[in-house]
Amino acid sequence: MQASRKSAVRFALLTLVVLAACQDASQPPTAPTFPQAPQGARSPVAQARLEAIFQRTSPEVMALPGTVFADNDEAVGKVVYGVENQGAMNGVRQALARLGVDEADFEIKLTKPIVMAQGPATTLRSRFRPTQGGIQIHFTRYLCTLGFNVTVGGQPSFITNSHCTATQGGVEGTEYYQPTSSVDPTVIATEVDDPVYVKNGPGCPKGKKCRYSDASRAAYSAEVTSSLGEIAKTTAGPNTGDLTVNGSFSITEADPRTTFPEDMVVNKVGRTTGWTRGTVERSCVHTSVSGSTVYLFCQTFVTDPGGATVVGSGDSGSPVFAGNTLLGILWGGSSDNKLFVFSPFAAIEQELGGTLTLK
Amino acid sequence: MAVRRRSFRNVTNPSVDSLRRELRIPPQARVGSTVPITLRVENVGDRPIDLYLRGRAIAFDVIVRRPDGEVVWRRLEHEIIPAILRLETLAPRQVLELHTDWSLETNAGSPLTPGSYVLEGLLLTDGPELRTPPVTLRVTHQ
Repeated sequence: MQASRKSAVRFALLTLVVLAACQDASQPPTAPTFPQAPQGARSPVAQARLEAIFQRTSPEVMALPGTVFADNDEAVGKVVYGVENQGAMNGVRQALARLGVDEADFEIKLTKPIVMAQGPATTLRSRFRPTQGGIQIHFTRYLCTLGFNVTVGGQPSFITNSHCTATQGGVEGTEYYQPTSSVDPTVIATEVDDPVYVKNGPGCPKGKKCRYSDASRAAYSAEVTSSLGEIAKTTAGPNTGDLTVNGSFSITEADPRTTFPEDMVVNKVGRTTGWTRGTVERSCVHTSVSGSTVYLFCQTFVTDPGGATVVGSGDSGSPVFAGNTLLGILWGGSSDNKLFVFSPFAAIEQELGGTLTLK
Repeated sequence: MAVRRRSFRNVTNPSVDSLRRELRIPPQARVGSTVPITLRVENVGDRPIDLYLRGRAIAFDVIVRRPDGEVVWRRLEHEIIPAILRLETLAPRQVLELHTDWSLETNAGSPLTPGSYVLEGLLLTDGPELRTPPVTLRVTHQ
């Protein structure tokens, strides 16, 4: 398209030149008021030769780092390569020499790189297909975070909190959207597993109902794709509040422990506070849940030694991990958001039943 | 159970100016009694406001201080709150009321001594808390 337009412009210029030349030849020549006629008023043979050079060299040259554009520029009668820097210029010159192209047939110009127009940044609250851990999910009137993807008996699923279902404990077929039903009305998954909380069981305080993990499983709808072993990674690093996604963490295994050493460094990714990091402050702590009669056995508390915010409303379900190892899912935190609590993977797998395949 | 679908609109920061926040308590109470506390938020604007709140049961804090600023009681002290985000839309003139009781004890379990105390309510959101103006409670002998 651009070459055609350029050719059309060149044709108009040539016409003007020819018309000017056909005027009274006895008059002294005057400086033209329009651009010089291109030197490329060449024969079809010359143009074909240049086109052949362009076609032959551009695939190899444009594979070189730092090249920006290739143009069979009829206006100057040369093949023109645009490059980002002097190094690229040298590389292109050498490549053209190797390809036997005469210096007179090409030109290399320094130019700025072409940057793709940026749309809205992808954040943990954006739409993701395939889905991965750490991104926003929506159900009824609530927002939570998708913990991690698994397969159970071959069924693609994700794990999130039990309290991120329509009713905490028991299966009601909660339907999930991602990121919200208004952005995409597709039901991405339906709750299939959320064990009931048990009253009067061993160790369960009077008036409480107990479990070992705040976890549930939802099975993906057939048309929804999901990535195993991936957790969304934000751009700016931990404890910055950044929500912009730039890549992913890879999870290859799960930690079989329910107790973790104090000062162990752990990470989480959630839709509200993004990627946060802290150290284990207490482990295997029996924990009452504020505003409910729920009591969870053997949970782990995490804080940042520097006092950073590590959790916020909407981070429920966030995957908690260290390196490539999944440790569990976050479910709650203190009112000042300086401490978060997670359920260990081992308890999640035991309560949900069946092997949770991560990768 | 029927699942009610809610449509999440684009996040709109509630105009704090359009939310009248208030902590309602009796003006005075006797040592040993229990004080009812109501945190009240009203949309006094002419447009609906989306509130993004913390918890399955909406989480709110109450902070009680002596006149010198020393905190004697916090409702959510040492509480672990589910980190779920809940959407509540307040229509114009609609009021959200949250209730709790306080037994006039410190977080350490000691009974309050008579005197004046300043109470403040905080509604937890996915951003800064929504705070009520302080109110004063006079605690008297039994």
